[in-house]
This record gives sequence, structure tokens and C-alpha cells, in this order.
Amino acid sequence: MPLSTAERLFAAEGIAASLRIDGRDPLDARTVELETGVILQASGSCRARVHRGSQVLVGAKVAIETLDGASLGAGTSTGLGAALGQGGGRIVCQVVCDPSVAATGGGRCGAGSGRPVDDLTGECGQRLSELLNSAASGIDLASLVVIPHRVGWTVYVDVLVLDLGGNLFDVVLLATKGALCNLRMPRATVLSVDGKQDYDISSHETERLRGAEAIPLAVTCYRVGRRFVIDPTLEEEDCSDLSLAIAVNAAGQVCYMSKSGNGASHGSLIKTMMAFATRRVPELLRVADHCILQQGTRTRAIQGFKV
Amino acid sequence: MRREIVSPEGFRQDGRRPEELRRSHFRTSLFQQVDGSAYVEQGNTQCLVTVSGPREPQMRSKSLPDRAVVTVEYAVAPFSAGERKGPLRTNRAHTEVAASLQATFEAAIMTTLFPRSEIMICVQMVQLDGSALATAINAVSLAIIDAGIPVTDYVTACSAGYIGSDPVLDLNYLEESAGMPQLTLALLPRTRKIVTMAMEQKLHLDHLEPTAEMCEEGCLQMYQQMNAYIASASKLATLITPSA
Amino acid sequence: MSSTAPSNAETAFIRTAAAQGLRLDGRAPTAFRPLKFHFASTPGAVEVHLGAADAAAGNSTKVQAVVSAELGRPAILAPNEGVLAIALELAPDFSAAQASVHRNEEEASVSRLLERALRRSGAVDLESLSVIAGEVAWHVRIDIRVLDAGGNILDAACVAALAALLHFRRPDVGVEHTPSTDFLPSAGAAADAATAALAASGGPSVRVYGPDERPPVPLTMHHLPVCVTFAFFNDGHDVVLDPTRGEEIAASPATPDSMAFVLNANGELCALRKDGGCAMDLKRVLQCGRLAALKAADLTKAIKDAVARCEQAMLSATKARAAAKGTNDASVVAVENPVVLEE
Repeated sequence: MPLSTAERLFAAEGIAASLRIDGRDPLDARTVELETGVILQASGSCRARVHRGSQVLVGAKVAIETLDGASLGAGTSTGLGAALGQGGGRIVCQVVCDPSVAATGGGRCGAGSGRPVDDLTGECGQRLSELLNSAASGIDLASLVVIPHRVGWTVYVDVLVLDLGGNLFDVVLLATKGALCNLRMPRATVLSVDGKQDYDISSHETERLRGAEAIPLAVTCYRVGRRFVIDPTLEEEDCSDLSLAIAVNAAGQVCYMSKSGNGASHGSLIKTMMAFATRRVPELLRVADHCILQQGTRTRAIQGFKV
Repeated sequence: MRREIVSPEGFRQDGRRPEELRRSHFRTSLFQQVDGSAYVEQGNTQCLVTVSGPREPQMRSKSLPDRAVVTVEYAVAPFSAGERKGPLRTNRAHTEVAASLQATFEAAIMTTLFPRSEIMICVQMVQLDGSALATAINAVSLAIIDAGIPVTDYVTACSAGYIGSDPVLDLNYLEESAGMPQLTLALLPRTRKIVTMAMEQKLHLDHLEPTAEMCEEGCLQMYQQMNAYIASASKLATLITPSA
Repeated sequence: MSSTAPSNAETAFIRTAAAQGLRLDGRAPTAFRPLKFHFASTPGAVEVHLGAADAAAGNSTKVQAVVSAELGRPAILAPNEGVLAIALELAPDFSAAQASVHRNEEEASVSRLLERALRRSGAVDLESLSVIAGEVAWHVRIDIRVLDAGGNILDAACVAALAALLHFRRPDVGVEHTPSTDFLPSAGAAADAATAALAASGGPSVRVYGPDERPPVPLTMHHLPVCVTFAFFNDGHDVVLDPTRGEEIAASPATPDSMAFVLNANGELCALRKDGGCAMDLKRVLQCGRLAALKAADLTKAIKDAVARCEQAMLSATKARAAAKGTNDASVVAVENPVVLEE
């Protein structure tokens, strides 16, 4: 159902008075439930469910790819070439929607006047891909190289959006971190045969993705009126004209930033948002890492974070 | 290196007997924003279904004056199978499954009660490990019941293959890819009448009867499990909801 | 062809008649309409008529099937096999009585079953279509055009496709190795001009023989899977075989209430379609299956006989021509009048 002007005004004025529709404070987040190892067919997987909010399922798969296109993925070898040229493997990210999400509101976000769903998932996939393939992600991309300039692992991160309830990117990044920490890839050993390098993939020995624990998490700040909120519902997201996704690592360093929305803002608000994010995310990481890194294939954890 | 589907001792590779179903697991009412939803796990095949409606059709031209229109969207997650597949928008096999699901549930839902409206069913296969169509039918059946849409009966489905001289029930991926004929049957369990049948590979007509009979048994077992689940889920719901 | 759908009164009449075992065209419930084959002079082109030519409008189905073949690259996943493609097209005037959405659905459902019947059941031996493994193979294409949709398009299309496949002759080919170069063909050959590139690169070259050099070769068929369709009336109580358009509509108040079996003469079931429709006992399904097997044997025999008689006729015509002309250019002789066979 599209939001009416009156409803928009109600939400915006509520936020101006520090009152949100669901009773939270502007800087309060909803509880997230994480479950790792849910998909046996994937090398790593994680499901994140925000209480009364978005729900995503992330499956990560690894594939060994050779540059001369003889192996699978002939069409993708160009991206691989670029990655191997820079001395690293690559991570391919894609965000797709469950048909029921894509079908609600004729392919638009639930609030109606919002953006097309494809647009939103496209942006989310783009951000995820940029962040994970950068050095700031903490992932040891060089460890994905098997034979320099020729053979490397490609990690495919496929995100399935099961339910859309606002604040998609933060949830997707959280679930992706869960899936990548949960990832077990077969060990590849390099052998020399007649002076030519070749590789062998072990069928029982597996290894983790190095540096996955260091992946930052994001807080996206949405401006509504003169204030900003985090973890908005779909309705609140619809009222916002500017949002800034800030990914911060455990050391409090900003790793990635991306703005979207039509609005323009003074530097002072951006500074406030960044200061908030750098303070907030390390706390969040402590809770989230604890949940994600718990032993066992099916861990179920509730995290509610308050400032 | 063709491995035996059924060992001389009468066991299959996953330890089941030929006439044994895989362990299944059901959940309903998973989402708030749709009218009904269900999650079904049969072995490692996992399926998530949401149902919206009856509601005003999104495409007015599709509405019918005397009954509701049933639309089905069928999608398979990129990480669902052994090898990763990019999402293909127009996959022939997927449209076939969608058409089959649509026809099945048009027959089972009392569509004439809701003229000029639409019932939308979205099926998402989360993981594939054989018998995808059967799992999808069972999941849709539960989601429709969860949405409170009137149906003549449950529709329960089950697959069976035929190997050597005996049928085997509820094939997994390994058995499916061994190239044996596979029959999927959807049943209205109370009257034991068949709504939908689909087949893969070649099967001699003489073997159709034992295979179909085994499917029927499987469908009836599925019905017991699904019905028990729905009964317990609705009991739970009445316990939680305080009576006035 | 009548462009209006039957009225409610007409469909009600069809249903009531079916309950008494009667059909509008006087057939028994389990009888097929007469089947006629018109073979064209070119091999692989056939027109199949299901129903008498003077049948009432909407009661006869005409389907044309044309088989063609050209050399190309084999599919990556099956380098040692040729490629078989099936294209189905409903003639534009078919849609006059039907909404176009419905027509697309029908087209899709018919082509899906044809795909199963002809391709996935392995009717055509694809391995024999390979010329050079991984490099060159025959791409066989069946174009099926529905000229007149008088019901039971599926069965008619299947019969037409099989007759065309049996009737088709592809040119013979030979592989010649140029002794000066490597035996292995180069991997750089372009997909569309595979043969030309191969020849240019000095690998083995493919020579296509004209019909006067070597006689064209028929396709190797493993079996002939034919389709038999049933329509159900009055909640599955009454059943008819080979429904006409009117009967199809009468049988589908909501969704098409039909069941199709694809069988070969050995009684092997290659495909089975029952999507929704009325719920029925397994016993009933098996009864229909047994009946379908009998009909399938009849249909296969009809197809084989028709093709054999057509070939006989072509052969004698060719001989007659050659004798009349007294020359040796037998290759240009064509049968001007299509052979008509009535079954």
C-alpha cells in the first residue's frame, strides 16, 4: 500500500520528536536472529532475520577457475583475469529477491512510492561487491590465488532476499559475514609436473576463508527531516531523502561509504553520522562476531543491540 | 562407476528402505506481510512458499468473472544445487513446473468462491536434492491452508522411481541423476484421487502401476505428517491466543 | 475455419452427448479421426490432416512439419552428438477465437510435451549426427506449423513430426584429412562457419556430397514415440479420445481437463501429462494408459506405412521419369503431386 502524505508527515514529525512508529528511539536497532550453516549445498551459508523486518539468506559457493577459459565460467574469466592480475582472487556478489518480494507492489518496495525492488537489490549487490573486493574488507584476497596469474578461487556470494522490511544493506552485509565466516573451501595444493605447475584439490581437507572474521559491518544512517535514524522500517525508509551506508571495522576505521537518495546534505550531518557509526559498529561487531563464530553448524543466536 | 541404487541387503545409499520416505520438516506462518507461508524440508530439498490473496488482481485483464485466477511464480536459488547457476529469468524447466503447480492448485482451490480476484503463489526452492516438484506441491498445499483459502482437500505429492524390477519411493538427487524413470504424483488423500502426474525418463507401461501405487502410499504418508503438523500448529495458535 | 468459440448451449450439448457415449461427428468415444498424410516432393516435408476434409468447421486439424538439417558446431555439453531443435508455431488465425494469452499457454504446453516426446525420449539417434567429434555435427530442426486448429494439436503435431523425420534425407558427408597437417582439428574454428574454418586451418575438411554423387541418408530413429490425448467430461465420468476443438472447450470449464500419454510401440511410456483437471482414480489412469498403448501401436503403424508407401511411389515415379527421358539426371526428378494416403 502506498503511503499517504499524512502518513509520511506523521512518521517524519514523530522522528523529529524522537518517537518512531514502532516505539524505538531514533538510534535503536531491531533484534537480529542469525543462523549459520543452513544450506548444505553451499560452502557457507547464513540466514539473518530482523525482528519485524528484512530477512535474507546468503549462500556462498567457491569454484576454482582457470584463466584460459578451459574450465567452467568461460564468460566470467575476464573479471578473473583482472583480479589475478592484481594478485588476488575475486568475490562475485549478487542479490536476488524471492518472487513474493519482487511481486509485492508491482516490483516496488512495500511502501509503494519507493524505489523499484530491482534497483534496490542492484545497489546492494554493487556495494557488497565493491566492499568485499577491496583491501579494506580484511579478506585475504591473495590467499585465493592458487597459481599466480592463472588459477584462482572465485567466491560466489548469492543473497536471497526473503522478506523486505527496510535497512537491506546492513542486514545483507551481516549475513554475508556470517556466511563467509562459515565458509569451508577445499584445500588446493600446487604440484609441479614436468616443470609445469598444476593443482590438486583435496576432497576431505578444507580450509576457512582467511580474514573473513575481519569483515566490517555497516550502519546505514537515513536522514528524515533534520535528524537521522538507523535501521528504519520500510515506511521510514520511504520518508528519507538521503542515506549514508558506512562500513566500519573492529578498529573503528571507516572501510566503505556510499550515499544514496536524492537529497543533499551539509558536511556537519555527515560528520555526525560518521562519528556515530565509528562508535557504534565496533560494539556491534563484538556481539555479532560472538554469535557468528560460535562452534557448531547450526547456531541460533539472538542479538539485540542498544546504544 | 555406476553405484547400486538398492544394495543386495535392500538398503539405499542414504540408508533408507525402498519404500521409505525421507525425513520431512514443516513450518507455517513465517512471514507477516503475506497471507500464508510455509517451509517444507524433505531430506535436503528445501522449499519456501508464500501465498497472497484472494485479492484484487494486479493485472485487471487477467481477472475472470466467475472464479479466482491462480498465478504461480517459481524460482530456484542460485546456491540451491551442487553447481552454482546464475538466475535465469526464463528457464523452460521452471515455467513447466510453474504451469503444473498452477493447474494442480486451480483444481484443488475452490476458486469459484472468489470471482474477479487473484491468488498468488510464490515458490522459492532454497535447496535441491531430488523430488523438487513433489516438495513444492506439499509446501504450496500447507501455505494455502495457512492462508485460510478454502480447498477441497490437502494436495499431497510424492515421487517414485523404478529400478531393476521394483519401485523406490521419494528419490534424492543421486537417485534422480542415475537416469531411472521417475513418476511424481499429486493426490487428494481423502478420496485417493489423482490430480497431477508428471514423468521423467522412459517407463514401461507395465511398471506404471506398481510405481504409481508406491507414489500413492507415499502421498498418504505425507498426508498423515502434514495433517498432524497442521493440527499441532493450530492447537498452538489457539493456546497462544487468549480467549476473550 | 469458424472463428467463434462454441456457445454454452453447444458445450453443454457435447457434455450431455458424451455422457451417453455419443460424439458430434459420430465417432465412438475411443476412436481417432481419420489420419491423412500429404508428403511434399522435398524429403522431410509433410502435412498431416486429422479428420475428414469435409468435416464441419473446427473439427479437422491440419499440421505441417518440415525437417531441415545444416552443419554446425555441436553443443558444448554434448560434443559427440548432433543437435535436434523443435519449433512450434500456431498459425495466426488460430487466435481469432481465443485470447492471445491463452494461445501462448497452449503453444507452450504443446511444445513442452513435444520436447519430451521427441527430444528427451531419444527418438532420434543424435550420436549418428556427429561428423567430427567436438567440431562439426548436423543440426536438425523440425518446424511444426499448425495450419488449422480443430482440436488435439498435440497428437497431430507429434505424428507429423515423426512422419517428417522418417521421410527426411540428409546429404551424405565425408571427412577428408589433408596429409600435410596435424591430424587433430584446430580449436579455433568459428561456430557458424565450422567447416569453412576447419578447411582453412588445414584440419580435416568435411565434404558434403550432392544427391547425384551419393544418395542422401535417412536419420537413424531409435523408436517412434506417439502421443495419445484424452479429454474428460462431467468430472472425469466420461472420456473421449482425440478431442475436437469443441470437445476440448467443453471439457475445460475452468482448466483444460485432459491427459496425454506419449508411448512407443514397445509399450514404453516416454512422457505423461496430467496437470490438474478432474481428480481421478489410479485405476482409471491405468485403463487410459492401456488404451493409449493400443492406439499408439496403430498410430506408429500408420506412420510407417504412409512413409513406406510414399517412398515406393517416389521411387516408381523416379524410375518412370528416368525411363521417359532416357537420360541420367535422376536427381532433378520430383513428384509433382503430393502423395496422398488415407488411413
